[in-house]
Amino acid sequence: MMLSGVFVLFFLNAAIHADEGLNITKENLHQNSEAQWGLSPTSISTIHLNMRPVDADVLFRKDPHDTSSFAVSIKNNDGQLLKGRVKVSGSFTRRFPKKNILIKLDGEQRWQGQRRISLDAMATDGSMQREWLVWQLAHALGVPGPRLQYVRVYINDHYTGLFMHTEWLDSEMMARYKLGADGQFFHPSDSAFCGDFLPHKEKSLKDCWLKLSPRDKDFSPLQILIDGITETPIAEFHEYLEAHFDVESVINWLALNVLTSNGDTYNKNYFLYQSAVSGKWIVIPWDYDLSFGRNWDAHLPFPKNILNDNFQYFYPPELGAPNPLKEKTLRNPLLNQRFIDRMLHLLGEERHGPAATFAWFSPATMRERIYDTANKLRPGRIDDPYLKDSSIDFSQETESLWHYVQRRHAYLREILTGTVPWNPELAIWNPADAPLRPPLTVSLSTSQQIADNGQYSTITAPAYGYLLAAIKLKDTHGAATFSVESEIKHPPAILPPGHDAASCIQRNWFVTLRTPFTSRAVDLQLDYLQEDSQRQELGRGRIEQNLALWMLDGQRWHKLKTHINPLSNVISIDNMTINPSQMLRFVACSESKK
Amino acid sequence: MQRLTRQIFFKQTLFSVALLTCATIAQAASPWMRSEAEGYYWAGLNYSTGEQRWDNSSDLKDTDCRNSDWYMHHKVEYGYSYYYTLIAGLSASSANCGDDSLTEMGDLTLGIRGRLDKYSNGKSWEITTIIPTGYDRNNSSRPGNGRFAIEGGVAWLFRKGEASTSLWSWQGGASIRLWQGPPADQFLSYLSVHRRIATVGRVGVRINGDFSFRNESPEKIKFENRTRLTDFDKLKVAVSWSNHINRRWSYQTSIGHVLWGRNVTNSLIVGVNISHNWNR
Repeated sequence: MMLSGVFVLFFLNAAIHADEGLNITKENLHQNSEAQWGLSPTSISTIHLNMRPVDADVLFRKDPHDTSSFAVSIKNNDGQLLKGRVKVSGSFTRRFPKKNILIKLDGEQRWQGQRRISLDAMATDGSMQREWLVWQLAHALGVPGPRLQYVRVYINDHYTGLFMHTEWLDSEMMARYKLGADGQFFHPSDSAFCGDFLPHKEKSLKDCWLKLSPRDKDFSPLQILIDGITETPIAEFHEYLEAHFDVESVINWLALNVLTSNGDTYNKNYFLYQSAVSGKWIVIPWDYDLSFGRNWDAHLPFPKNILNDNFQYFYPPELGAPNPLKEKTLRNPLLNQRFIDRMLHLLGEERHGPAATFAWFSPATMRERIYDTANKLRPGRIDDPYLKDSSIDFSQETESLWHYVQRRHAYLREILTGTVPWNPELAIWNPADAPLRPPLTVSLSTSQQIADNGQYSTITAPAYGYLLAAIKLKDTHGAATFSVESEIKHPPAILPPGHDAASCIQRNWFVTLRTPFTSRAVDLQLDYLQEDSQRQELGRGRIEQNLALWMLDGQRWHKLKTHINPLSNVISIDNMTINPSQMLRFVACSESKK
Repeated sequence: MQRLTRQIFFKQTLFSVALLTCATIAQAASPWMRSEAEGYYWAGLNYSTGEQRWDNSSDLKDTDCRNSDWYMHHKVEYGYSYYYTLIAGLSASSANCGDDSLTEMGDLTLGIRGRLDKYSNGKSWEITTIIPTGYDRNNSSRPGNGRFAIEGGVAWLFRKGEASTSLWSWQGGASIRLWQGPPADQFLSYLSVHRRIATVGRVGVRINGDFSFRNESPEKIKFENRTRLTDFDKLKVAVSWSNHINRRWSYQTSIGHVLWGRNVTNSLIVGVNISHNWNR
């Protein structure tokens, strides 16, 4: 995550178009138990657990690191009582009041075809959608992976909250995908941060990787793979990948990570499976709670380095820990083109695959998907006893997802298809090699025509991809051209009465309607920066909830009715009128610092 | 880290044959509950030496010889369930003083630990039994009391936050040990404070206070000039350093001294122990 950030220029990569096709095996995707899993979008089912009252009482309240299990019973669809053990699972999430739980059924009993029932509390994701969205896309792309299902969990008839039932990843799942149940199954060790295909001299493979199956200690298949990746030159890497990997799984893994800005991977948080059927390796993505704008903060102590309200959408595709599989894939011209094509297909810029996934990540599609899911989750979330009194604002969390998609889409479109496209040869593949971040103070501006299609149009800084404003025309007087400028990390030079610069967002925004003659009604979004605790524009006050937006129309200041999303750092103004050729200056100041 | 904290001064060294025997079990209770199916192994080796003793009137006197004693203890704990931890321990000792010497297996301890607070770890009760391993209790030179005993106690651990983040932690325990016969029943207690150094290292200070109820008849043994088995009082202080070797293994070194006593040797004690934990 320690990347060069916003202000790295990306240069054009030679466009070499590979003969690319989405080699999706969708017929393998949704076999068995479809009805049971209820894969219709966001269907929410119910699971009733019965435990001894004292066990139920302590399950979530005991010491977070205790790994004890308790007797539990669960009814299956036939009314049959299944018995097993339940325990809290996860690592970091154990410290939250609402915890992940794992149920292991005794013997050969099964619930929805599973002996293990994994229920994710989604405690680190206030929107409760990150994993869901990623796996919806992953399944659409044909990525082998777990089925997911939202469930209302009741323990002894008391509602315990909304959880995500995530299918257990095991050889049975692999067999379902016709990959064979007897393949080599590995997972990078969560705490070692070295499951990255690099030849670590100081650490053994067993330190860096867990072998899930077969249950032996033979790491030689993985060693052979690492040696192969290490020794193969970039120019020949497409041949190596074709011979040893399901290439689609690698391209899709990278595409998912880049779309969602998931930097919490490449040395952990994914699975590797070598199919005994094809002999090829498959990458299975995992753990997307630190994505969609959420950002690890190197400057804060644990756990604030993870639990913070930073927001970013402007990290380039090389984002994340060094990993030669990632680097060589993206630097190999043929594979890079497959990746770029996949990205443009998902962004809705160019068709390079089936219609079902075209524009999957477009803002309009994603907005509908996000809000539809949120509406279906809301009742279960409102009643959730562990979230009722929490400070998490579900509406803000939902909106921040949508804001992320808007901005990420605009950013990727700019850096992949803009005047200075991303060039993997200029990328920094090891964050440790990144130069010191340049000073933030910069002024960015551009002009852009906005269509009157009732949708937000994003205006990004050329080459940077950095969003300067998003504008939605509310009238139907035709397209209009706007000039926007952001003075980033500039204390406001002119202030509304009663304010001082230190209590204001350290940015000036300027918006001018260039189309003459007619005033236009618009909705407007302006951003401020909170990339991390060091690189932000919050000013002295740091009280985002008390921010108010002021507009200087050339003559006097107007305080605008404003909606602030402190998670995505977006200031929204609805239904404002902009007159032609009138440069509007905006500043945002904390009202508590008057 | 929690395991490390638990272990700090978990066992104290002994400074005479009888005290060695006492020290096998002179740890009072431990506050830490194992998770279900979590295993824990602890092995400690201590050396103690001294040439003075506090007599039955707590007067400090020179002894005829300098004692030079080794004491080894092995302990296993297992999380039977969230609510109960099973405990087993076995000791062996070697004591030398002048012409007297002894090397023999000591006592076996079996016990169970439970929660005083069902929600949190670090507050527990503990009941253990002490079982002699077959040595001749009529032998005046023996490694233990040679009788059965039952011990019940409580212990607690207090720290702010988790082991990995809390700078300071305090631990205490107290128990009563009832013997099946003379020389005396006992009250055992300890209090310790530890400070985290760097990431996982811990430095600690611990005070032990063990007291006899003097409710039975004292017995004479061969090493009578140093102790009277369980009929003794002592205050001891020790400092320790503990750290992790890796995720599963830890070590601790300690050095301590008896501050005051009755029927105990004025000893210097140095020790090293290792521990290992695992999950099924």
